Amino acid sequence: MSKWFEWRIDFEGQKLSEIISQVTIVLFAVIGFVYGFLNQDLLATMYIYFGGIIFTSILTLPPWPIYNKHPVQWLPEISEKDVK
Amino acid sequence: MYNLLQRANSIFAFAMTVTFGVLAAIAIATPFLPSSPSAQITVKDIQVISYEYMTQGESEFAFVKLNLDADLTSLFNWNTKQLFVSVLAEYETNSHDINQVILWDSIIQSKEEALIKVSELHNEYNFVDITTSFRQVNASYSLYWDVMPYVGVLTSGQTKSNHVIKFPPRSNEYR
Repeated sequence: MSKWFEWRIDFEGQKLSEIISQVTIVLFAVIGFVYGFLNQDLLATMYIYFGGIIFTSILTLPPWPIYNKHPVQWLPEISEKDVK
Repeated sequence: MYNLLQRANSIFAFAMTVTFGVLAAIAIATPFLPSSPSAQITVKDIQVISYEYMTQGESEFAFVKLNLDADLTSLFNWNTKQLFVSVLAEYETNSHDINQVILWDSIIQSKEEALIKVSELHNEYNFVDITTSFRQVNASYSLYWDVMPYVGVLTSGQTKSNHVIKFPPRSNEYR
């Protein structure tokens, strides 16, 4: 089970997903606050903000192809012959 | 950020921090919203009657009948859960400088209920002085309210009491 949900991404993808998650969460918080304040509706603020967290999770949790564009290039394997 | 668990962990940890920021912003912004509550209390009738009261012996009870006309709808903003409203009688005696007696109170949970119009309101609670007699003091009547928010600090307010009425002398029978 845990093997199927490893969902690994490469180093560049990790950097990208961190930036995307932080920017979208803060963005939804600001939009929710402004919308709720202007419409005097606290429930709308909460719906927009927590909906934004779910949206961010969908955007950054699965290993979308964009996060695996820079796979780590390992050095070629050293054979017995090269060592000698 | 390398596998699912690490990404989920960091997203929810960050979201938790931002949540507190949002709640703090709501708490800070709310007091700046304008409100213009108004209330008018007119006393229709006061009677003072003496009864046996617990172990103190004879004690004077006041019976107040008043009209209450208040518009507290402007106190309902996005962050108002409910209001606690009370009518207080305030007076000064020779022995005690500040006397406040709650005559009536109510919990208001919606904007529609915040338009209060009650006539012939009798005091809900016993109106007695801390000493056993009122000695015909002058009392003023005003409306106090506490605003209970969803997020943030509890605020309160009151109307200026300008309606000062002298207590009548004690009568023997309730009319």
